[in-house]
Order: sequence, then structure tokens, then C-alpha cells
Amino acid sequence: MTDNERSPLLGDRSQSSDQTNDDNGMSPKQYNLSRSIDPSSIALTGCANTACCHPGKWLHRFVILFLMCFLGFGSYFCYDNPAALQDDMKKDLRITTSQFMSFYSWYSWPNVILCFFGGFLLDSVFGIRLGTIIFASCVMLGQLVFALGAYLDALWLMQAGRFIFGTGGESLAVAQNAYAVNWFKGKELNMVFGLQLSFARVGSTVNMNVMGPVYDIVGNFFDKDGYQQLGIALFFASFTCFLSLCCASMLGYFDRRAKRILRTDESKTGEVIHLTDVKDFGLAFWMLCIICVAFYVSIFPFISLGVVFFESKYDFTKSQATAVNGIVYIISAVASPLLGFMVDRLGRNISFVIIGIIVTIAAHATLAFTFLNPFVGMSIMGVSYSLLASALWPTVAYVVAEHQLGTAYGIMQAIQNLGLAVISLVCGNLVDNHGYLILEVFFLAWLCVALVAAVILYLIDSARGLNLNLSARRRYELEEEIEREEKMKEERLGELRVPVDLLRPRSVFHFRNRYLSKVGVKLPEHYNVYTSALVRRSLLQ
Amino acid sequence: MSAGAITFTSQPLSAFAVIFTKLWDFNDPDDTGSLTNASNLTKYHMDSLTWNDFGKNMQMNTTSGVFSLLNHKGANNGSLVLWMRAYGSHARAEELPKLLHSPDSMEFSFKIDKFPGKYLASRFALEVTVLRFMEAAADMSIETHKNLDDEYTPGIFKATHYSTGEHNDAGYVAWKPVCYAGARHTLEEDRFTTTYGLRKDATPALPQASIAHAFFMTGMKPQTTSVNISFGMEGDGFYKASSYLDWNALVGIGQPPEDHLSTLVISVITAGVGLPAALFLFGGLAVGIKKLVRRQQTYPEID
Repeated sequence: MTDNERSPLLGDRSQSSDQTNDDNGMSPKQYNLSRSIDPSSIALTGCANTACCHPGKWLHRFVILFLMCFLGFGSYFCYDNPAALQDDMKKDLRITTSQFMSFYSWYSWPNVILCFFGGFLLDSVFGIRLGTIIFASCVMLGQLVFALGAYLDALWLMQAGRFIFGTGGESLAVAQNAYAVNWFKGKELNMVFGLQLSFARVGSTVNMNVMGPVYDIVGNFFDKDGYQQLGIALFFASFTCFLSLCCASMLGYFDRRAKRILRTDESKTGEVIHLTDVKDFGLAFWMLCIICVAFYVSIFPFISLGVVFFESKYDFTKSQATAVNGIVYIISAVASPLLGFMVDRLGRNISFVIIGIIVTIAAHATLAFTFLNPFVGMSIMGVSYSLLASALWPTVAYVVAEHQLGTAYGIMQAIQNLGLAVISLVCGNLVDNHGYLILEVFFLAWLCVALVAAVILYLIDSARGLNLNLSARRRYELEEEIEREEKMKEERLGELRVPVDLLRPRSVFHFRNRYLSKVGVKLPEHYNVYTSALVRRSLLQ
Repeated sequence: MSAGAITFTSQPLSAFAVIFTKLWDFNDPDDTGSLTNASNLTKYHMDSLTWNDFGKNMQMNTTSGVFSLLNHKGANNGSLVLWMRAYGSHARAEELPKLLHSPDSMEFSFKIDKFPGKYLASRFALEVTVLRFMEAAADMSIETHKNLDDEYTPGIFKATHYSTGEHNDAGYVAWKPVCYAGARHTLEEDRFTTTYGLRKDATPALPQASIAHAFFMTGMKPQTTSVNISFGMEGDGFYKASSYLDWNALVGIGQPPEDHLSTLVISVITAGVGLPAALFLFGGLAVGIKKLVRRQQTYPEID
């Protein structure tokens, strides 16, 4: 058990040492040779050779980056349309708060299943190019059906629209991530992920601030009222989804062209899901799941219901209320990369998780029990939310063996979506029947559950020595120490020519890599796919 | 009744009366919900309308009674109703807005049910006059109290107190700034009420046929103030959307009751804070002891 839990630290080196040791110098040399060609030095004819169109040159990749960022913009913009228009929706459609929250619930239901299949669908069934276009179309179709339902005052149609929207939304994020990993390498990747995150969050904030005025302008310009005004406003929101669809199509075209020119394979997400791995997950992993669910159900439904809360309690106008509501997103756009960097440098993930939860409790308590300007509470919440996301998702990699990471993340996301789907409805019900104070107390109760789980995780870590809460320096020292031990063992066993890790069980992933290297298949040089899955979740969740 | 028809043998220390003097029907073409922006106004003096016999409608077992409109031109019987009940105990009303009663208070409800509005964008407002006679002269005031507990009226964080002073002999009219456009008082039916500034009446014009007139106009110099309360808010479709309006308030002696956090809220918070703290404390102790014991049990170095 301890060995398994330590192996995530060693995963990288065991692969690379094997590749250089075992193959009698055959495939590694070939592999190195093909890697040493600089893509930008390939000569092309005509206008393809210009900086803008050559797949290897930075300007073209900059254009691709721009397209990639806008790919997710429509999805994030339209996800929070209900929150931005809450009081108009409730008035025009004459719905209760729990019916309003069903729009969010229906978004989450398909993702309970789809987060297991998203990677599989993109790799094996559709291919990433077609898959991205399909998911972007789902997003646009969903939003159009949602708008149509509003125009016709048909609640069931609107809920169906959100369901369709949900099938596309999360999987589009997986695709965006896969494109990023395949077009950008090494240090660039961090910047790319950071930029994608910023675009996503900017999309959410823009939605909060813009949809209210759009609704008013639609009312004046088309001289419509009530649900028809709402339907037209939502139809205009779907233009952002159309934009994302265009980006998806262009990305597909450029990706195919680039792979043809550079003679590489189609991009893959590389996520592997085996549900049977669940039996190997220890208590530490389940505690992380509980923290994940309990924390996110006290953030996202709150933002969904925030606008009317701020209008009722603090007498804000609609524009003030939507501005305050969007603060969490805009702060996390800036704070997430910074705090991610800090947690990377300092380590001590569990301590930061606990700090993040406690600060969120403080923020919710301020909003519940005082009349202090909610700007303060929401800003604090934005920071603590970013902190927790940066600290929580990497911890999974320390708790679970590397070949099981795909499954682990899939399960965590599935449980998170399930929690959101159910709790959104409960929250709507609470507001209708018991008011906002009880709602806040409900969120505080969930945060306390998260805190209890985090404390238990901390205690498990101390008691069993799982090394989850090491500072980054200590973790680095530990890695060095283990590497030194390995080297010493290798030297001692050197004459026997037995691979040093024969005595340790090796993963399917490891065997597959060795086979592929022997056969001469080129592996991408940054081939640690689990990093990409991890980064996507820690930044965009 | 003529002045002086009701007297006490000795001068009372304090007296306080609440009168619903006028019903306003105002036209709100700009849909602001505000009485001050009304373009047209019709005034109904409540005492000039015909009401049923209160004594006949009174119910002794529930200590409640009803004033109901009779035979007004163009309006049905019962299209204006003033219902009141003295609960006589500390209790909370069952129906929204779930006002908190005390033995010193009485709840009343003012209902407009298909009373004809004169204008296209008709809205209604009520004028409430409060008279006070007290030895200690303190100002009558109308205040909005913020309350962070909206357990009983979801979404409403304010209560309006129209009180005649600070001390125990004072009286009050207290209400939540909400009225309902449907009989069932569901959340979709709630509308805001707006309260306008307090107006001091130097020479109060009390209705002749009222107990207040009979009692107060005997040489006591009562202080009188009035306030208007309008019902409805921007975007609710005006009175004609449902032709129904319902407003509840409390009248009582002393200070208006404040809503406090329920025991559920307090217990959840205590559990929520206490449990992680206890876990951290005891868990930390257990782990620390375990480590200490383990350190003592390691074998001594051989070399």
C-alpha cells in the first residue's frame, strides 16, 4: 500500500530510465532523431511558408492559441445566463426558484456519465477534430433550444436545451485541453492553460455584466415584453456559441493541415478510464472526493442564486448585483494561476485545502450574518475558491497511482456533477420555502463537512505517513533520496543486467510505452498525459 | 360620535389609536410603483364607505372580526375587507408573512378583492393615521429595521416599524414591506410595498364616527401623524393583473417584536463549527500520542 502510494513520485523516472536502458540502442536513437527536427524549419511552398500560416512558426501557433481560447468562451458565457437574468426569468416565466435551479441541475446530469466517456469519445470514436466540432455544435444547439423554449414559454423545452448544452460543455473543455497539450510544449503550456482559464472566467464575468443590458435593449428595440423578450435575449447569447463553433471548425482544419505538413499523428487526450480501478482507491481518495463535492456545492449554486439575494438583502440594483456576483470569477481568473504557482512552490497541499475551506466559511458567514458590503465577502470567496482548486486537484496525483489517475479524476468529476445536480434543486427549494439565511446555513453546513473531510485527510496523512502534505522542498529532497537509492541498487546489481525495477510491479502504461518504443512509434516528448488532465481540472474547476 | 362621548374617570397616562383613514387609487402609467409619480389620484374616505356590522361578524372563540365593504357603487360586497385578530399569546402566524405575535398585539389584514380600479394602470395605497397621547413627549417615527433573518418571509430582510416612542407605554404598527397578489400568499404572488414619509398633522381631521374622535377630542392634545403605504412594484402588471391585494400588519403596545434566529440555525452552526474543531483537537492529540509512543519503542542502535 505504501509502495503504491509512493510510486507517483517515481513514475517519470522509471519510464525514462527504461527507455534508455533496455533497447540495445535501437529505437531510442530513431526516436531521438525524429525529435530533433525543428518543425519550423520544414520548407513549404507559396503562402504556406509565411510566418502566419506555417504550422511550426510561432505566429501561426499564436493564431491557434487565440482560436483555442475562444473555443470555450461560448460555453462559459452561456452556462451562467440564468444567473445573470434570474429575476427577469422568474418574472417572465413565472417560475419558482427551484424550477429556476433546474436549469443548472439539468446541465450537470449528463456530465455525471460523460466525464468518463469524454476522453474515450474524443480519442477513439470521433477523433479530436470531429469530436470538438460535434461538442461545440451540441453547445450551440442546446443554447438555441433553451432560447426557443423561453420564446415559447415552455419550461420543459428550456430544460431539454440545458441538457443538450450540458452534453457538449464539459467535453468541449477536454478537447480544448487536448489541443493545448498537442500544440504547445513545456513551459509554454503553463501560459496557455493560464490564458485559457482567463478567457473562460472573463467569459463568465462578461455574461454577468452584459446580459442584463442586452435584455433591456432587446425589450426596447423589438418592443417585446415578458418571455418573448427573454427568448430573443438568449438567442443573442447563442451567437457566442456560434463563435465557438467557428473556432472549433477552424481548429479542426488547421490541426489536420498541421499534422499533414509536420507528419505527426492526430492529437489525443490520452485519458484512460478503467472503472475496476476503484477498488484500489484508499480512504484518502474518498476524502478528497467528499471535499470536492462539499466545497463546490457551496460555491456554484450560490453564484446561481446570488443576484436576487444581493438585490433583496442589500437593496442593490440589478447591475450592481450582477457585478458583485461576477467578482468571484474575475478574481479567480487572476488569482488561480498565481495561487497555483504558489502551491507548486510551497507544497503543503492539504494545509492549503484546509485554509481555503476555512476562508470560504468566513466569507459565507460574512454574507449570511452581517450587512457588510458583499463586495468584501465575494472577493474573499474568489481568492479562497482559487486557492482550493489549485491545492486540491494536484493532491489526487499524490494519492492515486499514475496509471489510475484518469479514472480517479473521472470519478471525482462524476461525483461532483452528481452533487451539483441534486443540490441545485435542493437550494432552489430552500430559497422558496425557507429564505436565504437558511440557504447560507445550508452552504456553511456543507463547508463544515468539507472541513471535517479535510481534517480527516490530514490525520490519515500524519498517521500513515502518506507524504501528502509535504512542503515542495521536502518532496524534492525525498525524490532525490529515492533516486540515489535506485542508482545505488542499480550499480550493485549492474553485473546481473537485471532491470532495477524488476522487483516492483509495473503498470500497463509502462509496458505499453516500452512496447511502443521498441516498435519505433514516436512518443510525444512531453508525454505525461496525466499532467494535462490534472492541469485542466485544477485551473478550470 | 361626538367628542367626549367616551371618557375615563381619571386622565389616562398614555393612549394610542390607529386609524385607516383613506384609500388611494392612483394611476401609474410609467410603471414605477410609486405614489409620488402618480398621474391621477382618486381618494376614498374610509369612513364614507358603508361597512357591515362588526358585531355580527365577530367570532369570540378565535377573537377575530371583520369589517367588510357593503354596497359601494360598482364594487361587490366584501371587495374591501379589514380583518383583525388578537392572538393573546406568543406565537407566529401560520401564513406568510408569518408575523410574530405577542399578547400585547393584534394582527390585521387589509384585503382588496376585485374592488374596481378607475385607471388603466391602477394601483392602490392606504393612508394610516396614528394618534398618541403620552406624558413623555417623544417623537413618532417610522423606521425600517434591517434583519438578517428571512427564515419566515423568504427574501424579505426588512421590517417597517411605525412607533410612537421608545418606552413601554408606546404603541406601534409593524409590518414587513410585502403584500400579496393572491390569496394563497405564495412566493410568486409577493409584491413590495412602499412607505412614504411621515406627515405630522397639526389639526387632525378625524372621522366623526370613530372611537378616536369620541375619545381624543376632549381636550387632550394628541399628536397625530400619518403615513401612506402603496402596494405593488415595478413590472408586476399593476393591480389589474390579479385584482387582488392583501397586506398584513401588527398593531400593539410596547416595542415591536423582533425575529430571532431559530434554534435550527443555531444548532447547525454550533455543530458545524464544533465538529471540525473537536475532530482536529482529538485527532491531533491521538496522532501526537501515537508518534510519541512509537518513538519510545524504536530499537536502540546496534553500532
